[in-house]
Amino acid sequence: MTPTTRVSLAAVLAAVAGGAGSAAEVARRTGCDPETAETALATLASTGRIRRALVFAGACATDGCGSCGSSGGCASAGMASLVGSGLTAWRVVGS
Amino acid sequence: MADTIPRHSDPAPAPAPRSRVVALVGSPNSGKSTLFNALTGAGRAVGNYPGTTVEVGTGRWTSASLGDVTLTDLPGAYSLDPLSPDEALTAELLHGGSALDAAVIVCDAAHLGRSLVLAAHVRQLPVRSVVALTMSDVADRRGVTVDTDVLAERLGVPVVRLDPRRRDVSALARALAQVLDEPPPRPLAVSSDGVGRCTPACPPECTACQPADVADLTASLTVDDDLERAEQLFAWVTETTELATTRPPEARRTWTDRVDRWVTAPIVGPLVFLAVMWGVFVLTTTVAAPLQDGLDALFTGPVTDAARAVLGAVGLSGSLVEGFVVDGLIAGVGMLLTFLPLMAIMFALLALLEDSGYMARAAVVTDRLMGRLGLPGRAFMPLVVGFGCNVPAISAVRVLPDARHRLLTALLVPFTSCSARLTVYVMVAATFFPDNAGTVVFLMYVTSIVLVILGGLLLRSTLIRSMGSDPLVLDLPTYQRPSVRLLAGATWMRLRGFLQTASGIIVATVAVVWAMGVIPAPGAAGSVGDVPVNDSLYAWISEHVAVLFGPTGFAEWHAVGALIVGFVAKEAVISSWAQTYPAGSDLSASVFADFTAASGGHPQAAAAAFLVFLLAYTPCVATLATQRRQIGMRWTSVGVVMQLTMAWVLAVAVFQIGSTIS
Amino acid sequence: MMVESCHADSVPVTRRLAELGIRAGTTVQVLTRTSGGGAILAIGDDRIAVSREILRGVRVLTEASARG
Repeated sequence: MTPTTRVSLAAVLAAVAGGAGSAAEVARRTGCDPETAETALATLASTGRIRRALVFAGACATDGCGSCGSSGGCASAGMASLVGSGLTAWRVVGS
Repeated sequence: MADTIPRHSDPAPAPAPRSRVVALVGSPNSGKSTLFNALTGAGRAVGNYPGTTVEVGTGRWTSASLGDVTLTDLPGAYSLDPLSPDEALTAELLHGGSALDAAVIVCDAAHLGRSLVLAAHVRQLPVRSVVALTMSDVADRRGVTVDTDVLAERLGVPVVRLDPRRRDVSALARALAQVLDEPPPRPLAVSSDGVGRCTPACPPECTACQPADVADLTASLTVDDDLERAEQLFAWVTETTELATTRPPEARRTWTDRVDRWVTAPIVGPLVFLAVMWGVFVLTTTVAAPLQDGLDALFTGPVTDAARAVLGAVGLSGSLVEGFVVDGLIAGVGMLLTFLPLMAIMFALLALLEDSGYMARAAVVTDRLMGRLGLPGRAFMPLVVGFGCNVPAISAVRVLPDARHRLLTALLVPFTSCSARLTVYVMVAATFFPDNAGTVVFLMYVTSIVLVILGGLLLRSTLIRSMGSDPLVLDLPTYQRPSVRLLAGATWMRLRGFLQTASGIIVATVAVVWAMGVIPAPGAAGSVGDVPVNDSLYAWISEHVAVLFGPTGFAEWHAVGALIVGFVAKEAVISSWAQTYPAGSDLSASVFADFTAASGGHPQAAAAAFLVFLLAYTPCVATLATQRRQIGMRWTSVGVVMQLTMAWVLAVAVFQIGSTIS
Repeated sequence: MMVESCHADSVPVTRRLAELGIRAGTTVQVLTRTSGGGAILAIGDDRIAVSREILRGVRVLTEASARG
């Protein structure tokens, strides 16, 4: 059992709002380990406070979701398949 | 079945074995699809869940312990977030009771924390569940081991470890069969003193154990501003993960680390990088070129013929309308589309490098060099792409995370000499420096690099002063095989972005140039559409602009006119230059004669000045359109001013010095 | 490659390092030296490439001396 550094969801949410887009970046900013950061991000995603956004295509990040093909917003499986590719990042919902 | 344990919920007996429906829940990267395929074999059907637009996969799973089971692969990423129709459906079904008999929660042993978030959500609903633990082999490779007993204890449901090598799912079937015979498990309770699980000893009036209403639960999780309940869930998940996993104290050396020893090493690293860059460059130009030629031929051939035929049938043959459609619109659209193969290949290669993980290593290797330019290492990539074509290079600037870096790089890309400019270099070099044509072209590329550096220094000392040094801190992801589907998706999205941006402006400017060629100059004879090129508006404008080029040695309207067209697109320079002379004349000879006259007997110096101007001034309107999208109108304008100024000043310098020497 | 405990040194670099995940007491492992004088560090499963400047700002205790 390896102890992990504790962090609060509020701190993780603040990190994402401050620009951290990946678990690794969140871990660095908040001082926790990457696995805990990943869990925190998943928990925040489950409450709908953050979501995955496309970084490069411009369709989501800047122009809004009008040109996006998926019906259910970015939490649907189509987006999820891009996870881990460097093409998506976590963003606070409504920002 | 009499029992003395007080029940809080009324257990509905599981329906007869014949008609069981089991759902697979889990995030897409957790191995859920693999498991689904393993269980259902080839018989997978995909369709919308009745009454919704959500796509689900269904199949039949037959096993000894369970008989026939209808397996439903439910969508959903991390949660039961009702904001997404996919996940709302999943939540509804899991809560629904009669539609579903049991759920298999797929958990990824290598990413247990985030898998447990979904598991915890599901476990707050009255659904018979079993946890399937996948990716144990991946976890093992990292030295991480998961204790399934501890996990089962915490979750309150059976946990079955799946061994991907053995394809033996009988343990899963047995666990599921057992669970189906029992009443639904008590939900994990979320209470003020943490998430726990009701034990059989809980009194009947224990409110913590009430099965949560889905809408209620998720609503409270989302509107709860101080994140209270989410924090409790998070605390439970992290504690469970800690209890159930063990990891080694020291970082294991992986294959990725071994490769990195060479790829980032002082000498081998840069060599590998140059090789990769060269590969990108060569692949793009050699593969794209025939495709581009093909598209070009298509548009100047069949498409044009078809358009003429159609217009002819309507009686518009030889009319202005035909000229506009064919030489304006079709030419414009054709030019736009010939960009596509180039862009597509470039984007695909970039995505490949990014996804495989190499891009980060390239940034490490070039960091030092780029630092001298005030740029992060990753800026090398767009600049290299620029030598193929500036348009995708400006889009490629997105790989830089910092906005100021993106701006600086986007402004420097135009100074990279693209392949369209090369066509003009070759022609001019052959005309004026027949014995040293190759060297001249090479010198153009050297000049291009010098301009990038100078431009960078200039910008950093004037307009983009506050850059701040950005010491390199970069995450190195594990090397992985890029997914073709992913590359295709990313490439298409970027291509679409390019089309949206560039189409309007390219078609418009080509049409405008065409119009200028058919409209007579003020005071000239001839009517619109029927005027010799020397008397057209185009020639008139070129002559007036040529005045500005006095000190450059090539102040004559044919060359300047070609440069004006070059402002729209360099690909059109040679053809339109030829069109300014009578049909059938030798372009080289004509140009040589005109340059000799304009430069007062120093044609070579003038030619050198012309080449430098061509190199440094605005690449094309497509570049401007892309720049505008990337850095905004204001900065794009700054760029144009910078390009034109530098081009003019350098051209003048080259001619003045050159004509003095020769 | 030695396992080292890191203590951040000068103040401006400290914040940068904290963002990096290197704080007093963090354990990192130096895996490779890179071209340009930097290094690749391993922090758990994470691999992070750092430049020479960053590396300089970190005062390091080797494991041997930490044990005393």
